[in-house]
Amino acid sequence: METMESQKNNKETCDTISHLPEPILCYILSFLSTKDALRTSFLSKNFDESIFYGEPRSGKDDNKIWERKKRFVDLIDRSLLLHEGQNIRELKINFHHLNDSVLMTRANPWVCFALTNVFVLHLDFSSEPNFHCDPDEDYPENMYHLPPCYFPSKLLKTVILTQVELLDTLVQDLIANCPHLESIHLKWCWVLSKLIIIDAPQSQFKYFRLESNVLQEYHINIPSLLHIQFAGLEIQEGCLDNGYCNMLCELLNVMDHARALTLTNYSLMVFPLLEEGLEGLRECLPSPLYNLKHLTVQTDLNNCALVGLACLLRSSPNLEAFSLDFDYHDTGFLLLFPCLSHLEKVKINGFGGRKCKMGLVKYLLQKSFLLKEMVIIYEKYFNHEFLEVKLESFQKLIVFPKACEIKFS
Amino acid sequence: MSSTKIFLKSSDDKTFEIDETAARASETLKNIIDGGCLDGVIPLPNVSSNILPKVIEYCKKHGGDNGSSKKIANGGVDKDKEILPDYDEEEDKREKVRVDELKKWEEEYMDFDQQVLYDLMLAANYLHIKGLLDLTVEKAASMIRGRTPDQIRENFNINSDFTPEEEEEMILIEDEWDDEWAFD
Repeated sequence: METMESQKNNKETCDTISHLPEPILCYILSFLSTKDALRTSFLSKNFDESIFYGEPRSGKDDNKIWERKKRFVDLIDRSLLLHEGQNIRELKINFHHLNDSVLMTRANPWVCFALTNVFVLHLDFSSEPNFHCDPDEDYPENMYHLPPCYFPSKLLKTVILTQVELLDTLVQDLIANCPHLESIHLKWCWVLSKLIIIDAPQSQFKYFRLESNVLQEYHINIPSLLHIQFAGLEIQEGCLDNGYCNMLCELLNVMDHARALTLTNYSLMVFPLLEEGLEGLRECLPSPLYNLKHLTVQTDLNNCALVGLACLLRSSPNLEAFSLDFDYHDTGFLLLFPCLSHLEKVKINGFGGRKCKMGLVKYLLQKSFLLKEMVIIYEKYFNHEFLEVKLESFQKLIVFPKACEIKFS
Repeated sequence: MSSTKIFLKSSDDKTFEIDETAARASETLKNIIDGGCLDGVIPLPNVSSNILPKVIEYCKKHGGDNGSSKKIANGGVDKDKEILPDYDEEEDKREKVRVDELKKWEEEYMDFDQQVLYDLMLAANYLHIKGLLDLTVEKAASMIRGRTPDQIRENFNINSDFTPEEEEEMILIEDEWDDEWAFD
């Protein structure tokens, strides 16, 4: 008994954590934040090596900064390796070190790992955090090339890529080979080819969001596609690009299957532009969007956007729901559109009760005979003046002649 | 059912008695019991006699009568909710008392030194007792969370085998992580 006591005492002065089996150590780390977990690599060489490297390291790079970065990258390699065979719900990789191309290629295994083990994948390779693309600047030289995906995941459901250079066929490969993929969001990504063909008649793909100012032609055949969201750049009036307009028209032409469409101001503004050399503005799109049932526009409804919206509404004979999402300024007035005769639902976001918008509401209420519901969401500013305007507009709104219900919030 | 006794033999050949219902808190023991290898004693070569009673104490609290009565109580609450809302409050109170009591018990139970923690984690892992593993691992994690490497080393009696130069470099690395890498 005494020997056991002394043994125990001896043990007590020993390291009580480093020799735990790896699964338990990893389990402990899983209870910690990333930073706390990383800090444990400073505890001792033994601890560091057993968890983060799996084997003792040999040889040391002379370049210390490189060594530090490499160390972090090694750590990610290792922790992903530890997850092998496990499914990860959501993985975000933000990698803002584009000037370091050697380090950047180290991300390839992560991406491959992510494409096979993850449900929701975010890859952000923009040159800096909170990157916002400047329309006047070209794409950065060192873009991350996404490696080809030969064995994409059976799990992958959502993919969000920011500033990544894609192979011409990547989107097609992803959609055609991932049976559960439902949503792709491309933010300022770059594809070399001018023509992107996506042909996936069997897929379950539903939602495609594109943020880009690059002119590309899309040929899309995805019967399951429900929603296309298209955000171009916000550019001043006067520098609208006709090529962009053609591209957008092409895209709309081939989005035969999509039933919902979301567009931003700039996209609206380019709609009416005709090809170079031709005078005047387009009244309708080259071919009507028969399948479009739900339209959302995020716009300030300036004159140019208004003409674009008119053009779009004229070309959407079967529209059932229409959402306007604006923050500020001039509303102007709308002309009579065929879709108003069967419009059933209108939602207005950021309503301030100013005169021009009141006019729009009144117009919509008058002309939309089948309107069943109008949802008005007020601006979220609360000062005294606003409350007065709100109250006044509210009183006016409830006496407008109407056949439908107005919901306020 | 609850009267069935099972005997566990520690690595240093000491035998301990445990109710079958309590033993079922351990996946490993549950598999052995369901596998029908119940004649005599279950040897546990990886668990010593100074840690096994601690494990058994946990199983008794969580695998035995207490666990099952909790289930009945929960089921009762759901049924009564719609018919007798007054009952609800009573049940809630009772549930709260029960949870408080369990918390207090856990607090007392978890009051032990590093060595026991180390052995308990190993035992919980070996016997597949998820609740006990979570409890112990969380305690270990709480001894790391938000602390400096020096404090953590002290907590776990880890001898730093880094040279002073390496230590210095690590402080630099950590600063750099703060600056360059965004952590959640």
